[in-house]
Amino acid sequence: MPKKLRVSAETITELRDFLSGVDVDMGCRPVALKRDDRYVTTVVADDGELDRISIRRLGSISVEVLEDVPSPQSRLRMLRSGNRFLRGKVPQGLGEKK
Amino acid sequence: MSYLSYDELSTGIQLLADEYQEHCLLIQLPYPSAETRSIYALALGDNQNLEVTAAIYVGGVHAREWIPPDALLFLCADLLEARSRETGVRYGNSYINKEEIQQIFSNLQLVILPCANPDGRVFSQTVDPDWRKNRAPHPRADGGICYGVDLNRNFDVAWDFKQAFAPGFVSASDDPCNKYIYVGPAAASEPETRNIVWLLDEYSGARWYLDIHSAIPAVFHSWGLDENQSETPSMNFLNMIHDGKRGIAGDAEYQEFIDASDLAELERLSNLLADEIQKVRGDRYDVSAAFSLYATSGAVFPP
Repeated sequence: MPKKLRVSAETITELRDFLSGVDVDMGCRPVALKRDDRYVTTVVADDGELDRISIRRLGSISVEVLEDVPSPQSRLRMLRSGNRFLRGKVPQGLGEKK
Repeated sequence: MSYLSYDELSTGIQLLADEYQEHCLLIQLPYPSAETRSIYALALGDNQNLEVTAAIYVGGVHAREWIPPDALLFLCADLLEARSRETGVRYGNSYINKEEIQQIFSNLQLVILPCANPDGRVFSQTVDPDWRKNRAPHPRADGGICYGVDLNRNFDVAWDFKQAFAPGFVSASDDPCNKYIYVGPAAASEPETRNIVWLLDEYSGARWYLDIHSAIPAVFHSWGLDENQSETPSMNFLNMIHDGKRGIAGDAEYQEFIDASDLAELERLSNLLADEIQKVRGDRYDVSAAFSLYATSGAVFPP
């Protein structure tokens, strides 16, 4: 099952060099945020790649497993069939109107 | 509540347009999706004029990020209901009072495209929840077909990444089979991309552009091409003399120009956005320029 990982390094260059050698999903935009004295990014890796990452870890690179990524089946179960607006019910938002 | 399907989004938009005709306009975008689906937006405002000062909101560019289209549809619903009933709207500790709602509708247009990439959403919600691109077929070198272009790499902003950027410093691919970041065969090759370009061209009063994603809790502002600088206007992505040098963090050889007052305003607005988000749910979003780890080519050009 794919895992969400927090990868960090002391420098952007070190983080980029590390990520360039691994096959991970860097989300919609590959960004690193500064946390204390480290640059941190979040990626998703499958189990095979996670094994490779563990072996490849170098220098100041730190890899922390955050959580399992939900399986495709569990994500698809979040959906329902049909069209809840088909009978003309106008959508109502979640904000409190007052 | 479960996520909305694309059919539900389309029906919902049209129902809102019918219900609140005095306060919004239904826009059918000029280009159907690659799989011929119609794409709709709403222009919220009491003055339906293309030159009225406008903000453009776009969701669903990345198919697997399911929540932004739902959030934008329900934002439309809240604002229209509040305008119609002459109330305010509260989300957690963030409150827009009725006078502010009336000012928004009197003085502005909010042009809201909840789902820019319907084919990708349908595929993501029926076959592969990890699907991000659109669903246009593109031939492979060996004669097969791979599907989809990353719409967020397909705009005509440093689109030709191999020419514009230093090798290895940009998040983009010219391989049609790359699952996430294929840039497409040409800039704005995709109908879904051209719809967004059309909105930006058509609404000449547009002053703000918000591209709503949900991968990480953060607010990013221009630029994503390189680090920002405000001293050398000629050092910009249109100037070919800098080709091959963009995207390297920490170097002085190339940085993207942005007017200092524009940058200050972007930072102010981005922090304001993060402040309001925090009032809703308590989470503090990071705020920064979009460039840090890798440059991104072909992302949408803000007004």
